[in-house]
Amino acid sequence: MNSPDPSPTPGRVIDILLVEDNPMDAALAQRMLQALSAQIPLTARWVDSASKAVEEVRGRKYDLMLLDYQLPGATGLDVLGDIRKLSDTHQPAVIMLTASGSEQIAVEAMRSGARDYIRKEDMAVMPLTRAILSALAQKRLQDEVSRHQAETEGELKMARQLQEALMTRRFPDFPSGTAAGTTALKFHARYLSAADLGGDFYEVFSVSDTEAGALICDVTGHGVPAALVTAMLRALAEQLRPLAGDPARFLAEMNRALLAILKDNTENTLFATAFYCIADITRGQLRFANAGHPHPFLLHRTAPPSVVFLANASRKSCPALGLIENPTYETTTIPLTPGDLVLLFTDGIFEVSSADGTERGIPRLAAELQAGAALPPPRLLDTLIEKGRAFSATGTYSDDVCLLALEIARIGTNA
Amino acid sequence: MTESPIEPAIDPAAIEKLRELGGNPFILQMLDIFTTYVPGKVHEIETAVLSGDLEAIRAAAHPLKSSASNIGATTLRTLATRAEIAAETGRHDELSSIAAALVTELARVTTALAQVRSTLTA
Repeated sequence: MNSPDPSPTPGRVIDILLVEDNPMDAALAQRMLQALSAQIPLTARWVDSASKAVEEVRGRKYDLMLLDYQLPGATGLDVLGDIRKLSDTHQPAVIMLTASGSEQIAVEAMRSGARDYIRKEDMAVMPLTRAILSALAQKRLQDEVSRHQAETEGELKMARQLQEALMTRRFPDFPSGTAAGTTALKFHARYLSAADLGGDFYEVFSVSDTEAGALICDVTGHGVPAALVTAMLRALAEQLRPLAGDPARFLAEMNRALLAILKDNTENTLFATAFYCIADITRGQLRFANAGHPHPFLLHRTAPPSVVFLANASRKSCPALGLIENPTYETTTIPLTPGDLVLLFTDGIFEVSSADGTERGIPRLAAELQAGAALPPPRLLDTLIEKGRAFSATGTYSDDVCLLALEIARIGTNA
Repeated sequence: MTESPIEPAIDPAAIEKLRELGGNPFILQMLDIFTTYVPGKVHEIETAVLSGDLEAIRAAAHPLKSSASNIGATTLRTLATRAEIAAETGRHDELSSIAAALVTELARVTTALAQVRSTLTA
């Protein structure tokens, strides 16, 4: 075949439904379609009312509909409205047949989803052929786009589920081998992914029998690039586990490895903020280092409760991962007391805006954390998430929300 | 009424178009449909004019327009258009004379079509 095949599925016969109440117009159109069938393989069926037309397209998939505007008791627009309720791929391409002087109707029909229109007095084999081929080409293109979109959405959904599955595994007990329920450290996490693939993640692992490492990262952007960097960082964190006892060095090595991977990629400025801490239940200490990440909170659940920002001892901030060669990261050590709650989070939890444009912000989040100090930690996390939704003008979060809480149940290795 | 009685009831060019599309058998098919479909529409207009049912007049005049133009019945088409417009704009006074003219014109068209038919079957 030399000319491009116009049928939606190459080689297949085009199914056409003619909707026309005037038997003379119907005979004329059918005769034209018959003439056309010499060039394009097609079958045509004729119905004479709107209700029969809708019944017909519900029961059978048509590629194309030639639809008379003026039908007894209904208009072509009514039929178009009914057709649009069908699934995308089940909708025929529609060409509206209009009377003279009804250009307004034609415009309205096109707005309602018709692909083209032909004025009845211009009906002839050539214009009809042109309109049919163009409508089918449009329809085929749209179906292709819809299919690709569905495929991509399916893959993204799977990837998102994978991301979530990676984060909701079981947390270790401390000291290792301790009976379940008597662990000195409890972990609580919440992860809500935005519509797209997320760039947030956390990891909790054993650094030693009595030390837990907790890492939270936020990769810039969303989508596939962010998800790929997220996967790389997870792998790096795993690979650098032997250095995990030294927070500053751990982040410095993550930075070095990430830069090495990203160095050839000059177009994208991908980087990640990260906070890494070690909770040591023997010494009752938290050691941490920060790479451009928002300061986490330490909630003393005393009476009255208080919130401490986990800032570096030097008060200097250190750059995010993947930005510069050999930055200096700093390890800070602070004491922990039983009942303390360390809350790591990414910016999604506080970067929500109210209707008047006010941001929830870190100070408000800290105040809400302090106000909820008496709640059991899982309830406290849910409350923080709910309060953000209530604050947001849209009632939802626009970014990923990632919360990881370390609950210091006790200090020391004896249960 | 301003229609010129000299104008032929059927424009031969329209019949030629039908012939190009499907030969004599298709002309005959269209004439058959015309004979069974169109007189009914004219009758519907007549009745609706008597009862003053404007919507029924409009509904019958609309398909009459395109049916008339399919076979080149130019004057019949013009009258159908007038009936449709008069019904849409509520001009009752014009409708009786339009209906009468439609009946007369349909008779003229029927005679002309009988002639066309005889040339096809001869």
